[in-house]
Amino acid sequence: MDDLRALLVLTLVPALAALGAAAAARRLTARSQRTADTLLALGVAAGFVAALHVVGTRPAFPLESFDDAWKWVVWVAPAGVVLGAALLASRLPERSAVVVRWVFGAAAAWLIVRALVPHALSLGEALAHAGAWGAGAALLATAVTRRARTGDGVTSALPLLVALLGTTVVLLRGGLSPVMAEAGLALTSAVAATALLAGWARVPTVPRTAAPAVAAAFVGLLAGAHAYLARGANPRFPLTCALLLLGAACGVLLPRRWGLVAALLLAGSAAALFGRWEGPSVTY
Amino acid sequence: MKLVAPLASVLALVALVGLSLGTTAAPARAAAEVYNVDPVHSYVLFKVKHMDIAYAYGRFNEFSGKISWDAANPAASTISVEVKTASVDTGNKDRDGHLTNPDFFNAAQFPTMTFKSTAVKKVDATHLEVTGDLSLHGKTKSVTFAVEHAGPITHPRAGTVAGFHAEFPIKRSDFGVGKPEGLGDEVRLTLSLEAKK
Repeated sequence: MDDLRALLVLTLVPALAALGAAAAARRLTARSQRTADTLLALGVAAGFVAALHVVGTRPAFPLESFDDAWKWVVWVAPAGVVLGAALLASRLPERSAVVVRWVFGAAAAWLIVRALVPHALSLGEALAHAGAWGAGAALLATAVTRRARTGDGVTSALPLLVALLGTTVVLLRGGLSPVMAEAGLALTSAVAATALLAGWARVPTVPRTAAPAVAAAFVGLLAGAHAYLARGANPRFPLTCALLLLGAACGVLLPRRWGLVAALLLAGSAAALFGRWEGPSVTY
Repeated sequence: MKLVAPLASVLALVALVGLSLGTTAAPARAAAEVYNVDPVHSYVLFKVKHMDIAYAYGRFNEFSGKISWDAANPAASTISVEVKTASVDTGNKDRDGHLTNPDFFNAAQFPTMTFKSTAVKKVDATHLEVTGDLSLHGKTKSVTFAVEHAGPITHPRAGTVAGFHAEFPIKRSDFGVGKPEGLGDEVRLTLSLEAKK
């Protein structure tokens, strides 16, 4: 598949999935806000998985020994929707919900980094990586959930979208992995299309049910990038990843009118941090 | 005192058995000689069609190998080679970085490519047919290829040296290495090994 076709698939397939989910959710919003929220979240995961399937990223479940471990993100997204729906239904206290999100995020990151134990990472290092990425996922998922509770608009999702798109660029340029960048673009498209259609479906911009899925898939990509890409290629690589994750979490929490400002600030600082590095030649 | 005579007999018997085993086993041990691949004078190379118009060439800089060579009975010989995938070198640092990423070799997860022979057949005085398991990117496939061998010779400084040369095709898709776009599916591997006893 050439680049243009891949680009179309990675943007249009998630958009179509989001449109279908939003149309179904709109019918159900009056009857059950929770079901509508879950439907939209399913649209995010379905669009993400379907787009990657079409462009050729089709890992087995569970992954085979020869599959690249970062591809767990494909299965983490639907699992996150199930967890999100369970959290929404259970009405756990906030602290317990944060712990559950942390465990989920850490488990997702562990699936990705454990393939490097023991030849590249010691067991302790891998557990520490998973724990730290899990904390990042819990922070982002909690921020998105809180934002959804207090009401929002498309602009409130902008920092998250900038972080996801920024990750796609970082994956493509910094680590030279078009295949991983495809996953970043599919996730960005899925969240963007859902954010644009959520108002029409009368559901929060990023549905609460989708929060663990988006956060864990995002963190899974970052953990994969950090663990698998040639890190020597760009020394600012891990720092930019951390900035994008933290920036997304903080930006989402800001009041609606500050969403655009936060997004611009995040894009600018990520570009300043990462963009000064002279990227690899694309002509090789 | 009564025990001394029988004990001496037993010890003598053990010594005799040991000696006879040693003498009969000695020729068998000498038959197969172990050679270690000399990385300075050996090469693991590959070529693959780029854009279906020209070949791109590359090499792996870090590898090791062991050849158990039985000159009298080549079928009893074994060959094993281990290549570090992160040592891929195509003469372009950026391209090499990309090749080690999950788009291709995924060197962090699959740090080595290995070959272990399962059968060696003598074709003529200087040619063998070798079958073995090639493991790359987490997948193992059986491959069979012709090997041209030379030596062993004894060099005053290098010692006893033998040479083995093989060229054979593999398919990237068989090992899940990279998507097919832009690069040909068939990769021709060349193993040119100089091994020292």
